[in-house]
Amino acid sequence: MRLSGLPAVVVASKPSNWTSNRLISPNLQAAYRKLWGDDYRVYKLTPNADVFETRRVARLIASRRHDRLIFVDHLPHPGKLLEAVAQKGRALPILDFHLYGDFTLHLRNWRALEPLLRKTPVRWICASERQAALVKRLISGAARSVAVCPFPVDASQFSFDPQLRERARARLGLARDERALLYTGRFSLQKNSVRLLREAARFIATSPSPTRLLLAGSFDDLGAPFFGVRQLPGYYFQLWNRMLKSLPARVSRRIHYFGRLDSAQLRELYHAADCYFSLSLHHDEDFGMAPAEALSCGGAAVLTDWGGYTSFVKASSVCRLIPVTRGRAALEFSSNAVQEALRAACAEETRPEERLARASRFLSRFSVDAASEILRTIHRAAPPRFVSFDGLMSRLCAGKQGPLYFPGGPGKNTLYPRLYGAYYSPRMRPSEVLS
Amino acid sequence: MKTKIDSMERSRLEGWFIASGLRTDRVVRPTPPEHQPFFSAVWPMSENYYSPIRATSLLQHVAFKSLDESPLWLIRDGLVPLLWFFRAFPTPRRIKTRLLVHADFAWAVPAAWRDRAGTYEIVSLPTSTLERQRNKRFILAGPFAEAVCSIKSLEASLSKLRAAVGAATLRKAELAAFLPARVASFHTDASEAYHARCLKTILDAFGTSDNVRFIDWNHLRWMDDLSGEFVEFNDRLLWADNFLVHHALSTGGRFAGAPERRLSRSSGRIFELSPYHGFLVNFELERKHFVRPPYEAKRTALTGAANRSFPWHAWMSGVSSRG
Repeated sequence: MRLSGLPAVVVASKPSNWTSNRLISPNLQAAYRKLWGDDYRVYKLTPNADVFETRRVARLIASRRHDRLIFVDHLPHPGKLLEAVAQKGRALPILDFHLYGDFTLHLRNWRALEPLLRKTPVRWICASERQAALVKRLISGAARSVAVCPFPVDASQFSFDPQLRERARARLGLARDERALLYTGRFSLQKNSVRLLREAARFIATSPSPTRLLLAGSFDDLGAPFFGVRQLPGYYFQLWNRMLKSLPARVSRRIHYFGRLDSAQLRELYHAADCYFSLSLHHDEDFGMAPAEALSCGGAAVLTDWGGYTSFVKASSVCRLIPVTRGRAALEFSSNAVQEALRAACAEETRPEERLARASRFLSRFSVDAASEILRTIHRAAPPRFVSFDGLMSRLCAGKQGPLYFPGGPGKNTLYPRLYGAYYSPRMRPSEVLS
Repeated sequence: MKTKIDSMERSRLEGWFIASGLRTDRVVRPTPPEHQPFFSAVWPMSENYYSPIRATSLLQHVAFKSLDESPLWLIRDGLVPLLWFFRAFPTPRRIKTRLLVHADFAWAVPAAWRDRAGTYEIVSLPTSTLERQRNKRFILAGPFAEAVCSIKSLEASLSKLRAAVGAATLRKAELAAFLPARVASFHTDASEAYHARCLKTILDAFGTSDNVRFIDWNHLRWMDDLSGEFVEFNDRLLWADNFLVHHALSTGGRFAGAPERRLSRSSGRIFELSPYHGFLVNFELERKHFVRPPYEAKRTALTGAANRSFPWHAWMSGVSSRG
């Protein structure tokens, strides 16, 4: 069904500093192109646009009487542009915001928009069901205004190719009976990388079949600002290296670090590996582009039951989740549960036809084509008018300026579970773990 | 799937967000306010980072005795502060510490300090499997000031690079330049034209402005892929252990034009700082370092902008008399 007026999409004119967004934004734009062909307009805005640029784009938007305005990128925050459009004296059109993991980082900016958004039809498009649950906690009467459209995977790059798997495994010298675990992404406290190394090492040491751990990505020291943990550059590598050096040689020689790779090289690794493995508990994990790409190549996955990772289970029978809970001081999960999940994942069928079927099933929900269809359904109906943010939003935004801050960790702050309770396993209560 | 965690496993649980006890304040000394102009001039080369060897600037030890806080220090300063420091403190007196100075300046260590000194260098590790953008992308970075890098020094390093890479290759390459400008704190006819002459030299070497991008700190800091060839805009007279080098090398960059270096056990001990780079440390000075100070190097250091831009005499002489 066609919309009555011309929709407009606002995108960032420069690629984001955040690697995942550099993949997500073009894929989402491709989904919109597929949906509307040339019948929509694209407005570009630099992430740190000044008042003149913002007003120029606002003038163009206001002059063309669009029926809806869709914000595809996480930056720049739409606040300034919407204020400038409203200053032109026109009522705001329908607003659709694609939300990213940094939504909670910018809560104060969103809250400042409340008077402007009031009585405007607004839709919040989340990348996963868990993120939608989190966003619903912050918006009054959110049942119909929050939608889910997964960040799409480019199937032309990430889909299963049996020959490539043969070639990639041969290049890495992987024997037929050998299993390969894979992690790609940032090596960071946020991604729980040292814990991942320890769990993989435990698995390599005890697994009956020979197993290797393949790693690709770069280190960072972003720390955990939500909890007041800041790190000097180079610190996390030292933690990692210390752990690596403490492993017995028979284990450490089965761990291979490839550094930062381009998408063609990553595709090769996804094909060579049997199981993608991530233990991230990061607050920005609203989706998980790397596991989505790995699952698109037909491999299995072992992931923490946290944030957007959970959504992959729906489209993959070989994605296993580790239950996560909120302990007294930290987010926790069981090492035995990790080992058990890795054992099961490594016992999965690796025949090409099996992988092909798994990859196709996954892409039927997570490809650009699939996203285009989901967006078609979403945009068919107008969203309800925005009323207000929830009281939880006010409580989170009260006090000091800057991003949210939960000093002392998740166990010591009552607002933390009210917000991030949506991200961890609902079936597991803290009392079950701590007993 | 088990959901209970037995007591043994509980002790293995690592709180996700709890970093271990190594915090900024334990590894970095505060900067004395009177020396702030110096640290501002050399920023961001002087940015703090986590080093397995405790790193410091000699200006943070004007009380001298504070050097005893650690048995080993990696001295981040360049040649000029080193010369002034050893002039003020020609002997280690009673302190038990060992100072690691940049290998290029081992000759500046006076005889009385020789058994309390060693050297370090920043080196690329041979373990890197990264396919780097060899000779296609260059990154030139450093504070844009005569005291940090003289025109002569820039011309020499670019000419060395041209010889290693080839002039034509260089002119076709992409260059990201991070050159935060600094105002000269002393004035000469040469300093007025310094910035313009430097830019001309850079553009002459790398071609037109089409392939040269000038980037800001925010851009450089969050670039997670610096897998190009790194050109250090720094003649190391003020600052030797450059954060910009660590940043570039830790994300896959290499020193531009530098030949692959074979590191063996006899080269020294490696302290890894990232998967791609580390410190090559020799805890003892070698006989080859016990040479007469190279006249030209000392003259350049003591007559150039690096020496004239800061009140070294006041900073260090005062210390000497107090010490």
